[in-house]
Amino acid sequence: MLLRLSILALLIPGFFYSTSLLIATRSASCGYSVHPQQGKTGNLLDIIAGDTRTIIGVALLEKADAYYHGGLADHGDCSVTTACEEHDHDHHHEEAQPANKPSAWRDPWRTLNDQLQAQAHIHLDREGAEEILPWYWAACEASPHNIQAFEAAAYILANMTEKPQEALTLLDRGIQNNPYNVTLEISRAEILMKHFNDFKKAEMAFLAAYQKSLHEQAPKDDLEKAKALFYLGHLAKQRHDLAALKEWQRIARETMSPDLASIRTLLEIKE
Amino acid sequence: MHTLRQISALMRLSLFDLYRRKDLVVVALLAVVLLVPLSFATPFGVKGASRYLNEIALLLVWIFVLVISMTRTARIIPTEVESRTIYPLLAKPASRTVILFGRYAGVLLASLSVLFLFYFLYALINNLKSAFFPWEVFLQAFFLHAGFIILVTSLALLGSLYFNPDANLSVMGILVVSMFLYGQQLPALAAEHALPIRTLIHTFYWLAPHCELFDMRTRLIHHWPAVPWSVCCMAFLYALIYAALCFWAAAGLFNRKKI
Repeated sequence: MLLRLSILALLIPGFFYSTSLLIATRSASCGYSVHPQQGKTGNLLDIIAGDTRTIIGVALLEKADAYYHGGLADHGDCSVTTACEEHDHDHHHEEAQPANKPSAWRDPWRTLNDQLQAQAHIHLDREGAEEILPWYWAACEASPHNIQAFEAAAYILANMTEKPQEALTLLDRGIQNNPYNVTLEISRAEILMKHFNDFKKAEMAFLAAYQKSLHEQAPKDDLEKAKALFYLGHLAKQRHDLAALKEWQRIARETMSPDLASIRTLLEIKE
Repeated sequence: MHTLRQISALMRLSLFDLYRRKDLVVVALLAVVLLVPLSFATPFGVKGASRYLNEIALLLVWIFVLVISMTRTARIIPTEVESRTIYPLLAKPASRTVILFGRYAGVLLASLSVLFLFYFLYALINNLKSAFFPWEVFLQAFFLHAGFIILVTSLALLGSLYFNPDANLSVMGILVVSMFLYGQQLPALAAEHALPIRTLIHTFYWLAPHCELFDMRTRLIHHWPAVPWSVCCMAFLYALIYAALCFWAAAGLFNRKKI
């Protein structure tokens, strides 16, 4: 029976892959749209899986996050607290005692499990950053519209593994898959500015981000717009273009919501 | 002494049976087919990642050993009855309990030998690939995995005297996997319910096999420090006591069974 199962395990993916290739070559040339979200890929995976790919992408992203926290999926969310930010991220912390721990006699199974399973809140160090990348890669491949996967993978590539060129290539692919997304455009611009000192291309990317943000309505994208405006003002000031700086300030003052006043203030301070 | 000789003869029978059937070869080939292409992958052109490979390898080890040990144990008695080979065994001057124990111990030994083989290969490949290998955690992981196998095989043995092999595998598979995934969440689930159901969930929590205790994969893959050996021994002791109770119940059933 195991032999039959193993033959099936090899045959089924092979069948899916070859059929997918056949349909892709035939339908992509006709401009056949397979899924409103997935675009005109003509990929059998898009036809069959649809939103399942998004769910798989999210699951893979969670796996990557677990890897960043030493393999623990349930690591608690304290990313904004000072205590967590002050962690020495390069070392395993002393294992935390679970809150409201019952006595060993009342719940021996839990007591034993707590002692056996790792529980501390840790972060992966720079040297181990490459361990997360396979999961981000899988998340990007599984779900080409998972913005967070592209953004996080690019961040790790550029800042933790010192591979900014690969990060740019990845972001280009992400932008190609999500042409109206502001976040990826800003990430691309930041990498161009920080790692390549290519301020001209960075400014063009921020400008593209700002223009894309004009079509977005959600509050998060308003923040992205503010970020783009801030950098555009910053770059204008850097090349001593006061007219452009004033123009960006005016736009910021007129279009930004009151809760984003800090960005406006920053632009004004820069003047 | 005579009983021991009988048991060892029955154990040898099970052990040879496993290696004769080539299940292990198929499983090992399947693992190679899955793992070798993955080992050549360089996501984003970055080399050096190994934890994902270790995780997949260990997951395969867990699945394969669980499948082999449970299918083997679930078919000990039903296959003997079906093929009528149980009668020559029963005709021998050995009690039914000795026969059951001998056959069970044989399957358990065979499963543990498979486990040892897989862990040996895991350690060998890891030692060749990376400079650091957490030996102590590795040994603890193997020790607890062996405890897990003792636990699930005893459950499958008990189930084989209640259900037919397919139903037994389904029921025990669901029980083991559910406890593995949600065992520690049962008290929280109980707290959300009113009294009769809460008591029911609590009773189940106390009686069901806590398979989740034996999973040390996260510690091994992510290089967490080892746990005290006394804690490991307690978990192993739990597995032994649970298995002994299951065997005792299975022996009681087998002794009363009309064949």
